[in-house]
Amino acid sequence: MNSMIQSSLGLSDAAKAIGSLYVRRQHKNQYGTEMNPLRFYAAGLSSLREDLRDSNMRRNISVLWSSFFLGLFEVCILSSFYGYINIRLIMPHTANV
Amino acid sequence: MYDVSGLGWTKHFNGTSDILQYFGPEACLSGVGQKFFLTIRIFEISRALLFTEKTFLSEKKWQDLMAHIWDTRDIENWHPKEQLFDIMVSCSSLRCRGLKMIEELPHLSTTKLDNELQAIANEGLVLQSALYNWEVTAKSWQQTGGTYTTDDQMTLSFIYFNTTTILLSGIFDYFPYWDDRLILTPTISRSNTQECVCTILSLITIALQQRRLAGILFMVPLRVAGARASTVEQKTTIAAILEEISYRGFVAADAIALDLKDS
Repeated sequence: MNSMIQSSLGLSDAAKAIGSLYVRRQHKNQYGTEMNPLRFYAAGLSSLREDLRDSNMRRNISVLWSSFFLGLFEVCILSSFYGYINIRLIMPHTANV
Repeated sequence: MYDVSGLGWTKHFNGTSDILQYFGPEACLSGVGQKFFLTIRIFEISRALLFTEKTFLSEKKWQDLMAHIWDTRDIENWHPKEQLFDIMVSCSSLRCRGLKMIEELPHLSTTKLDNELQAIANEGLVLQSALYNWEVTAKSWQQTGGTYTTDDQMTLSFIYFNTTTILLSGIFDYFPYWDDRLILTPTISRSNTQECVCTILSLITIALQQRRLAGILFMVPLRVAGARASTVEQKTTIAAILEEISYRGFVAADAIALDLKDS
């Protein structure tokens, strides 16, 4: 996995987006601009879009991991994820589960 | 830059599922492809259960992939949770079938409706039986070698076992059609449902104390427990768990943060 992260710019950025978000949360935003999660996220997204246009994409398994990590980042950064569940708590009759 | 609708993560997971399908099962036969498949499986199942949508995992070629993985993989790497995930895939398909039937209800003849109600109930009972068999297998697996072992994956498994038990019942207990026809279904009683909710919440609390499982893995269980919570205490517990997960950020990021330091 480490070697794949090092060899794929998109995957590296996606992993850094989550990693830097975590580091910033742990250290109360005491990190500088080099630890900007959104910057890494944007770069990762841009790389993913390029990879998806590549006709040889099937040979590049890191695309899958990049897409997955970017999804995890969305979950991490959006408090609305928790809001979604809270809404269901308030309106359980809509849940049908 | 990121999706402010709150559903950006679902778009990403939908997209990831689409890419995985484009790659096909052959990309997951070994190596990092297989690791990816086994990692993302529960997220795809969760997505399907959350939104009552079909999952490609129920397709034969993907089920064949799972069979191939466990045929060829070292048995020591096998964990009962994988068998439970298979049952969850079937439960997800049945939920979709049940919902489709409800939507088509006005257009179905009485005979067709009766047959479909019976067929869905039968499949539900088979799944319930599979779930209870899984519980027995999982508990005996924990006691293999005369020692009782548990791990975070097993804790997660029992969280999902209780969640799936409620979800399976939920296909039937929100609608009167089966009861009206005296058709036996895998519906569980209100008190059993509450037991499941309590177990889900206590196991998630334990899992959070162990600090080894990612908060996102509790997404579906908390959603299900939230929908069935009947006491102020349960709702307060769920709110506290959500706050704790939110406060901690994302536990899985530990490994990624370590990778960042290394690179």
